[in-house]
Order: sequence, then structure tokens, then C-alpha cells
Amino acid sequence: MKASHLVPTICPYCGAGCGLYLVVEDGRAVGLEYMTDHPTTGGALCSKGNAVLEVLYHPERLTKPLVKSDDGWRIADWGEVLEIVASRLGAIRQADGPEALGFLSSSKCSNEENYLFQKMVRTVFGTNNVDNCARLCHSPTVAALAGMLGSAAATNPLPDLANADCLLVIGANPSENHPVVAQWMMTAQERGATLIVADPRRTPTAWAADFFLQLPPGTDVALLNGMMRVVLDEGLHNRPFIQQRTSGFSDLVVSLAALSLEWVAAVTGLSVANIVQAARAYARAQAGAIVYAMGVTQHATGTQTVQACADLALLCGHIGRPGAGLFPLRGQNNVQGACDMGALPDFLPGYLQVDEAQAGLTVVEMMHAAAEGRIKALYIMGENPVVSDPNAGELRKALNKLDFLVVQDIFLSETAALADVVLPAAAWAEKEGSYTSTERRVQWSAKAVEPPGEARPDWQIVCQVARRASGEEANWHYDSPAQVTAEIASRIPFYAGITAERLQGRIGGLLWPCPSPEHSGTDILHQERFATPDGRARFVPVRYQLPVETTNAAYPFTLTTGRIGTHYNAGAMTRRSPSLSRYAPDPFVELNPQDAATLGLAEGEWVQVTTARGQVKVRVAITARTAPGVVFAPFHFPGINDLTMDALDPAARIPEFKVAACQVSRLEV
Amino acid sequence: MEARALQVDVGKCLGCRACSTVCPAGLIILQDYEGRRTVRFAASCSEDCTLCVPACPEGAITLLPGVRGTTLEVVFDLLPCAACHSPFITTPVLNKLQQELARALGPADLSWLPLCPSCRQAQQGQAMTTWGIG
Amino acid sequence: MSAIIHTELSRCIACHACQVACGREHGGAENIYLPPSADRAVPLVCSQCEPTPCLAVCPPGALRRAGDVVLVDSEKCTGCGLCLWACPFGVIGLATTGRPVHKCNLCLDRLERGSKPACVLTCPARALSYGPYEEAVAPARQRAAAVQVQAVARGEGR
Repeated sequence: MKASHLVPTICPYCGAGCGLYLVVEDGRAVGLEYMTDHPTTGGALCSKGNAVLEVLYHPERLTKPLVKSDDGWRIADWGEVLEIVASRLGAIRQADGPEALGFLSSSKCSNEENYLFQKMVRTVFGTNNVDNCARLCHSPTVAALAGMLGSAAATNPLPDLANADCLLVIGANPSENHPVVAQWMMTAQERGATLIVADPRRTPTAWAADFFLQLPPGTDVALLNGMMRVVLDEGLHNRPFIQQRTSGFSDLVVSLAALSLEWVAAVTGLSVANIVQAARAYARAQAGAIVYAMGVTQHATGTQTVQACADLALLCGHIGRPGAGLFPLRGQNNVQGACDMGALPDFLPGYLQVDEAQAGLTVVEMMHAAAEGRIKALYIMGENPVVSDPNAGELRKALNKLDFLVVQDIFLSETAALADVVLPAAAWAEKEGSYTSTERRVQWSAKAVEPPGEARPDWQIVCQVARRASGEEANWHYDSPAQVTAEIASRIPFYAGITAERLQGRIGGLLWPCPSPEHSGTDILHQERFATPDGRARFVPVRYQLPVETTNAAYPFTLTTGRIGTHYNAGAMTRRSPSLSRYAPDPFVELNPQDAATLGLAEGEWVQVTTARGQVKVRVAITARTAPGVVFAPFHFPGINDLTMDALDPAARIPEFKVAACQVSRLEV
Repeated sequence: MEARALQVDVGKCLGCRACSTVCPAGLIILQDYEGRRTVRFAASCSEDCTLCVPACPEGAITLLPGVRGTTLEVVFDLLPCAACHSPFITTPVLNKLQQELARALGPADLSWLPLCPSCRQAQQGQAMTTWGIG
Repeated sequence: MSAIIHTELSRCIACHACQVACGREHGGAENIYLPPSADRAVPLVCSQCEPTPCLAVCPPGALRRAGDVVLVDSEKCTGCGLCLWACPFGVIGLATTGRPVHKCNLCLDRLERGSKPACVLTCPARALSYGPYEEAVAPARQRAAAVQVQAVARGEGR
């Protein structure tokens, strides 16, 4: 029997932050073990976490630096590619200024790596043009909650959902996409909690709902305002809380004065009775939780929709207590951390605001700038915008216009395929570092095995590029990620008590704020006061606005994009994992049986879906899950985002992924 | 090894998968096509092995040294699943199962037997949703 | 009373974690099934039945009972498929190599280490449990009933 040992790591997929042990034998991960004493999961792991080994040892893992030549890819050595990257970026900076450079940091990389990347961008290349894919998912959470509550993160830990007696899940499908959260929601229900689910589709989350509010995409603000109207009409608002802990209540009252429930019913297609029932259930609860995700944020009105969620929570006093809070479900394993570390154009590490005049460009704005020739080079670490960004057809043109594109990744992704230089990176199990999950839980993921071939940990690559480009060693000499963790602790007050030593071996890590080495982390935020200057939360009334693009004769269906449980985001990992991709090997759209019948379509048939921006060929899945008139497209496949629009939320600059107008037609063979 | 005739008592053959699975030399090939199962036996076997003989549940195979054999094709209709109608089982297998299960289980509800495994799963799924737990 | 894997249907979210886990633990052979359905999910796994139809029909005697679990002897199995067709729940699988057949073995190696079956440990919704029937059923039924009672009290059936 070979000797094997267990190495604790944090799953590289989503923001639930599940721990899992890799079983290592002779330098190879041969299996995995469940971390049964993990406080959030109890050892549970979704389908993707169970399949991580298929990614780790995939034959397509990048193992050598690549340089593009006229004959295709040429294998190069690290010395050469680091020199190319440093000199090309340096030359463009010299000729066209630092604003001609753009940098995308990876919300899959560790806190240490994100910290180093933004440090390089700012101190070596002299620009604030650094962003990460939080832009595409929870930037409205930052924009809205930072202003209203003073802190833009989940207010309670995930297991605390079990303590809610009313759960309002809006624009989120946790049972499918953050499955470990399901156990806590179900525990709440078994204790008598009411589950309200507001979603255009009858998702697995909605199966368990007591009230299922099937509203059209983009109408959430109408519903939330309607619920607040009911709360005010019936005097169910929490007067002491409002009086003692908030400001701006009268603005909210004035803003909702003219709102009629009949109008809300007309916009949302829900009955007045349902809206009233849901509002009463949430308002009358002892502890109400609002769980939200992309259905709320991925709109040109995403910031306003988050504001409406927070308004409702404040109105009913459901913040700052066990079971009562706002639970933004963040997508990537370290998107919270990437933002905390300041891999953002308008924030430094710890959310110190960059002076507005100096703020850099966001993800989509960088792509627009590239299209216009204002940005001439991009350095992309662990992101795949060709698949994940909106209006992807235009984006590919923009990338091809660049003078220089360098991509650092573990696979030759669709974006890496367009690069001039590709840097092979280590996967999560081949490096160590800290990662911050959606519940502010900072955890250490240990190194289990060596990277394949010449692949290197991202933190080492970033330091090497920084050293070459700056010509100096001093600021870029780190013996290990733990040294970077220490530097982070010295820079970010709410990470001040977090060191590698404290995190290593501590299952469940520490929840920030953790302001000192003796502090054991913070479960529930805003218990005594909000993190605003006056300690009060601020109501921000919002008005319903139509989506940017509505249906018309040419494009009579509403296209909405989203996720399925057996794929993950841009699909670079899951489409390469046979045990997962077999459930959905081909791109597809969901169509209601009524619409399928009208179009004369059969299950599984190939169809064309077209918008004003592009078209794709996909299979059709006929299901009553999705409402008539709505086409649901999982975005895990290249091409789906050729359809979506890059109209941006003015505050958060998130694209309107969730609503577009499309046509569906049978493909003539 | 000296060639031996591969002889099959067709009346005993169930059309199961045993002999075709255990034969290491590919001398017995089972093919399902359009609702029929064909088991093709080579005329003779020169391998140093007798695995097919004990593998056959009915003892239908004999290996005879010094005898010339002939190739043989045994064809069965695959009975359709009572629910989804996809062909899945031969009559001799079904009969044998009915016999053996009656012997082992006594009087028991065997209404699931003419269903294919997928439809049995679906049926069990339906039944369990009535009970709430399995 | 024997300890087997139990499924709590009100909790299953059809996430496929159990299937992926089982396949990984057993060299690609998955022994837990999720029949496709639009709006409900029923995980199906071998009940280690007693009396045991699969064992009763196996010609080479390759299926044997070891305490609570029915195991396949990979040496004796000829891949005849009779057990597969004798299983009332359709939860015995045929490997691509033809033999041996595969079925849930309660992750016996895990049980021997004092652990639990992989599907039970991994289930994100805690819909799978391992233990004697009485221990699993009563609390599960109470939980399911409690949820129904809430719904009825609110004037809604589910």
C-alpha cells in the first residue's frame, strides 16, 4: 500500500469556497477526500468540485511558453517570453503612454496574485487600467452597497441562512449554481421558513418555493418596489430600525407614493395577491434574508436593482442579525478577494478610492478602447473575455486590432488562441495562497503537486514580468506567497489579522473584517452600526426602467443568459471534463413547449438564434421551466455572447447580459 | 493448441452476454441491430482456454478436439420494453429470469420485468415520490 | 436492521454531484442514477435488497452478500447480464469492457476506514444518508411532513 497524504485545498470553481482534500501519492493527486468539518459545507461538494482532477491532469494543459509566428505557435523558453512581454509593454507605454495599456486580473487567482498584479499594473506600468471579471457579475453590488451600507459584501455567512424564517431568493438559482447553499436553505424551511423565489424560470431552487414569482427578465425593480409599497401600506415596516439606523426614509416614501400595485402586476405578470403575500411574508418574518445574484445584477439597471433589494431589507430591518441580511452570491472562487485586493480601476487594495480623474477603464470599456485603437496592448491573466464578455463578435475584432496581446492561463482558451504570447500557468493545486469566498471567508489553499512542464504559479510570473519591466528587484522579491499575505495584512485594515500562519491548518479560515492578529473574524456585519460615515444606512429610491432592448417584430423573443449546474462560466474547465460535459456537450437554448410548437421544433434539434449583434447555432431543449416568450441560453459555450449587448450600467459598468431581443429559427440543412 | 470445434446447443442458448464477453480471442461476437440479437460463433478455437464453457449459464457450449466445426449464427428477437418499446431482452433470458425469480422470491410482483432498466428506474422514481423517501 | 443509503426526495436538487463522485471513486463506473425529469429529482441507488433478485439469478454465483452489502466478485462475473435484467430498479450497470457488472458497494473501503459512502458525504443538499432504515426514515419523514404542514397552514399545497 503506497503512502499517501491529504492536502487541504479550496475548490477552484465557485465562490462558495468549499474545502476539499487532494489525496497525493508519489507526487500525483490520485483522489479526493471530503472536508467534513468545513463550517460552510460539512464536506459537501457539487458535481464540479468532484471533477477537479479531470482539469488538473487534462492533456491540453499548457506546459510551455508559446509565441505566435506565421507558421502557428512556436515553443519558447521563459527567458525569451518574459523579455518579449516586458519590452513590448514597455515600448508601447513609451510611445503611447501608460493609458494605452490594459490589464485583466483573474478572479480565479489567489489574493496574493491579485495583489501583486495590481501592484505591477500601478507601480511598474503607471496606469489604473486594471479590472477583473467581477465587473461582469457583482460590480453593481459594490456600486450599490458601498454607498448604502458602507460595505459591499455579503452581510452574513452562508450557514446563517438556516436562521432565516423568510428567504427571498431573487435573480439567483443557488440550488443549481451554489449547491452547498441548498442544505442551509432547506434547514431553514424545515424550521418553518418561507421560501420566496423570483425568477423567470422554474429552476431547481424554485421547486422548493412556497411562493414562486415567475416574472419576466428585467422587471425585478418593479416587483421590489411593489413589495415595498405593500409593506408601507400595511404598516409592516420596522419603525425603530428605520429611525435609529437609517437615513433617507422619507425619500423612499415619496418615491413610492404614486406606485400602484395594479401597475406592478401588469409589468411583472404576477397577481396583486401574490405580490402582497410575498411582501407580507418577508416583512413579518423575524429574520428575513435576501439572496441575489446575476438576475439582479447583470442589467444596465443592475446597480439600481441591488439598491432596491437593500431598500427592502432596510425597510423591514432585516440586516445585522442572525438570519437577517443580504446575500450576494458571488461567482468566482476569488472574485471577492480580487476586488478586496484592488484589482479594480477605481479602487486600491482595501477599497481605497482612486481619485475619479485618475480612475482607469473597466473590462468592457477596455475592449471598446481597443476597438478604437486607444488601447494598444492587453495583458490578460486567467480570464477568457472572448467567451465571457458581451457582444463577443466585436470583442474579437478589438483584440485582433491590438498591437500586443499576452494571455496567461492553464489552457489555450479561446482568448489565448488570439494572443501573441501565451504564458503557461499553474492550476490551483500546484501553488498556494489565500482565497476569499462569497461570505468573506479567507481560506488557505495548499500546494499539493508540482505544475506540469514549464508552467509556473501566477505569482511568480507576475513578479518576473514586473522585475523585467521595472528593472528592479527589491519590490518584487518574494520567497513565498505567505510573504505577500503579510504585505496585504499591512496594507488592508480588514485583512490586518490575516496571516498565512493563522490560515494554514485552520479549516474554514477567517471571515473579514479581521483587524488584528487576536481577532477571530466577523460573522455578521452591521450589527451595531453601518460602515458609513454617520453609521447609518442610506435608502436610495429607484424607479423601474425598461430594458435597453425590447422585443419587436424582427426579434420577438426575450433572450436571457445564465448558468447550468454541470458547466461553469466560460467553460474552459468544464467543457474539458468528460464526467460533467456529457450532461450538456453542445450549446443549447431552453424554449417553452408553446413556443416550440409554434415554431415547429423538435427536442434536440439544431436551431439558429439571432440578435442584432450576431447569430449562433444551438440545440433546442423544450421545457416548461422557461416561460413562453423567453429564450434561456446557458453562456458556457463560445458564441453565446455574440448575441448579448454591451450596453453598460452607468455606475457599475456591468453589461446588460440578461435581456436582449432575439429570433429563433429552424436551421435548414 | 490443437483446434477444437466450437459447438453450441442452440436450444439451450439464452442469447445472454456471457460467452461473447469472456472469450479473449474475439471468436464469439454478439451484435444487437434493429431489434434483433445475433450471436456469431466461429467454427473452431485454437486458443489455450476454455472460458466460454463454464461461462455459459446453460452449459450450451462444448469444445471438441479433433472435430471440424462450422460457424454458427444464433438469432433472437429482442423483446421491446413494455413502456418505451426499445428492444432490450431475449425471450429465453426473460423466461429464465421468471423461473429463477419465482424460485427465489416466491409469489412476488414481477410486473416490472418486461420494462427495460431505464424504465424501471423511472417507475421506481415515480413510486418513491409517492412515499417521499427510499 | 441493515444500514444502506437512503434518499430524501424533498431535498434532492438534481445537481449530479453524487453521480460524479461515485464514478470517480469507482474508476468511471457510476452506481447512483438520476432519472431525467422536468421538475423533480429522484436519486436511485441499490437497496441491497433482501431477498436478493440479482444474487438469485447469477449463474456463476458472482454476487454475494457480505453483511448489509451485496458485492460483485469481479473474477467470477462473466458479464452475462442476467443480474442487470433481474434488478427491479435497473441499478446494475454493464461496464464498457463487458465485465464485471457494477453496482453500489456502499463504498465498502470507505466504511472500513470509518468513513461514509462518497455520495452521502458529497451531497450538497444533504439528501442522501447512510444508516439503518429506522434511523434514517423517521427524522426524514418528520422533516418532509413539517414542510407540508407549513404549506398547508399557508393555504398552499406543494
